[in-house]
Amino acid sequence: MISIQESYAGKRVLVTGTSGFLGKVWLVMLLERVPDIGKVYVLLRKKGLRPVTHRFEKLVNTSAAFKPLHRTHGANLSEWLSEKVEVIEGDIAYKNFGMDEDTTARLRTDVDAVINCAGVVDFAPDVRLSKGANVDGPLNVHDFVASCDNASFVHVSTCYVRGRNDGRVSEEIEVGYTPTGAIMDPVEEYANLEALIDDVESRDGTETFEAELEARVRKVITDKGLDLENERVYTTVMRRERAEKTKRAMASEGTDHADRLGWPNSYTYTKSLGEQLLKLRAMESGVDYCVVRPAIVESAMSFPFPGWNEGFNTSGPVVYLLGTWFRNLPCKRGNPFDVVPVDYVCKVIMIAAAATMRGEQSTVYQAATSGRNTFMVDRAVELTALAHRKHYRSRGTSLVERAILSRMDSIDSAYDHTFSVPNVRKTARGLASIFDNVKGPRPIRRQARQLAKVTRGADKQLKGVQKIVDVFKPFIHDHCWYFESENIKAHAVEEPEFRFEPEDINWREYWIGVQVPGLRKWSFPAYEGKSIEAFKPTHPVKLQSVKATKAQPAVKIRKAG
Amino acid sequence: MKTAAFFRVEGTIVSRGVLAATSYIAANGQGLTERALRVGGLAITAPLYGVLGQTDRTMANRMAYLAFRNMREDRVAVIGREYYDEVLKDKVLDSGVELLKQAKRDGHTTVLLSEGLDHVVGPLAKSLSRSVDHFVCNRLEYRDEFCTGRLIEPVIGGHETRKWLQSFADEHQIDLSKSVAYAAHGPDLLLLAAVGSPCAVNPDFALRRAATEADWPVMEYRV
Repeated sequence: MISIQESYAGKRVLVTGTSGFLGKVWLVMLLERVPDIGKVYVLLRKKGLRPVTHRFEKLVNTSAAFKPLHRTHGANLSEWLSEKVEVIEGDIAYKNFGMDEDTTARLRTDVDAVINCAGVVDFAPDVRLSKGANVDGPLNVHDFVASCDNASFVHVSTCYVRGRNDGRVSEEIEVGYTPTGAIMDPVEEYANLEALIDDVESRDGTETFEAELEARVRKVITDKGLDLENERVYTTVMRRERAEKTKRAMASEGTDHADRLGWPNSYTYTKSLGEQLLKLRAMESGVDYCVVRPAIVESAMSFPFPGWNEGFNTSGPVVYLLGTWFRNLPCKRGNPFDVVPVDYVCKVIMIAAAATMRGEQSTVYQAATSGRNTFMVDRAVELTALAHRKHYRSRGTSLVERAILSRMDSIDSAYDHTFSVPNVRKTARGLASIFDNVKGPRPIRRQARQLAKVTRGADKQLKGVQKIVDVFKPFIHDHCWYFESENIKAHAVEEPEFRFEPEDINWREYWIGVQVPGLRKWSFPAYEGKSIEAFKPTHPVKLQSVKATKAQPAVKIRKAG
Repeated sequence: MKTAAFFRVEGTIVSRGVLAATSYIAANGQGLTERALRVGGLAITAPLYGVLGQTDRTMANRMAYLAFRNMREDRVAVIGREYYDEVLKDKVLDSGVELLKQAKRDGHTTVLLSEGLDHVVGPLAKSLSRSVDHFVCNRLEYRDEFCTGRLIEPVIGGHETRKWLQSFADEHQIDLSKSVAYAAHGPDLLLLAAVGSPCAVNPDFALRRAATEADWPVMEYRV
């Protein structure tokens, strides 16, 4: 039996990724529910000119996730946090996180556990970024932990490292795994990834690259109605487009490379590569570590409060789409939709870290629900429609919402359904072409051109919809995964508030009463370009006396193994 | 031995029958095709419901609830609750509620009997929980989250109510001869005949005639 309170009492924990959705909730849960924690070192990247303490204070003073701490400590929160938290400037993409030697030496003797929640969770990011955070990151954390006197390490990955390979997913790291079945040497693959990045970077300056860039810059300037002859405008646009072009190439080459190996995107590919390299390295060093793999992390069930969510990387965009005129979502009836409330994932991290500090850990803990309380994707679609219905009927802002949208139901359908996005787009483009070619008197032609413009606008909007559908398609349509979540059961937890019990989730109550309202409040405004409800604590936090530890000019680690 | 007051919800506590709720839920199936099919099916069985309603209410209810076959439990629950909130709540008869409260004050064990579904009538019973000791209603059978269209025994509303009444009285040590019952429809005759003090409330034609012949009191408070 593990007591979380006893396991963490007096311990010094370094945590990364606290500006993200999961890391933030975990940090608040630790500080709020384990007040006897010795010290929390919060590793943050510096943004802009201000010191990282300002960034941390801003997080605490503007993110609603910190509400429980403000409620508990009120005016004393600044003092309490100053005692419990030390903000360190650093980035896991660099060796020793880019910290100066004194700080590194101090933390090596101080830290009992490192929780690495940092990662790039975009599905198709610039592959340099995902490599830095998802591959180099865990390796650098490992190396730091290996150099500590007595520290253990929890790395947060994802269940979807499984890639395009259906079935029951066990809790283990298979070195050499690829979803296609081909054997991959992780060290060699790391070199391949670097070669890919070098290759894309080397394209900059080639004749073809420059010609394409030139054409693009001219088009952008012309489309914006700016002066092509203005040198300043030209240089600015050129600089921006050069960076963008390389970024786009990095994203698309990364995705293609991942796809060739059987992963649906570079996020899952880099996470898998990071896990495999970590396992190899830990085998050599003997570091006590474990990997926590969450499934799709969703709105909080109860902590920091029901419905808390932020960002774009949950099921939010799809849920949002189903509240619009878009109704036929391609998904496969009967496939599990593995969503897990963020506070449930935090509990798994809590338990896993406690077990690792005691040396009783398993290598992998999957924080998932499909293996223990399966939620089907078609059920999610129906519940989403019912949740939107409930909202529109009681709080719809227009007659259209109250009378029509509330009665329109989302339906799970085949990808090539008559009303699928590609089919509707095809029709829209056909109609636009017909309107363009209408002949006859001038007023009729004018009307037809107007209609063509409207139809093309709709097609453009649908392009965005298709993008979202395509990003989510592997997870809701193409594949059927059941993620086991059994290893965590080996650790009976004394305190009920830390137990991971997904069997208790009532999906109807959660989806309609918590998840969708949470997204509506904390995520949908961002999709619509609106501002999210501001959190303004009565007593804003100002960390006292402690100065953030500065990072050294960082040396980027380029080679693994 | 205790005494009880039995209330048949439809007609005495609320003025809406089961068919209205069934139609509402069926008309809000998933997607237009499903809605059309379910409402169409219900429209075909509605005349039969009218006929069987006076002779074999159990069969009539079974036929009505067939409209929910293959409907997800989530939908029945959510739309059922919506029907309660948006329709049924406004159809509660104040005099019926007062009657219920009086029965409770008189020391009876109060029992609500409804042909409606737990998702629809459950919230009503909850709102009256201070005056209600027991609540019995029809329940649908679900398999793998989907409705089979069948009702779980005992089916409330028909002749089986009498059998249920006897077993309920035995289980809770209730003296039926000193108990009261309030009902509004012909098929509730067996329920009324089983207790010592029956009362016809807002009775339909069949019940009114029977009540007059049996010299049972008749109450009218329908709005």
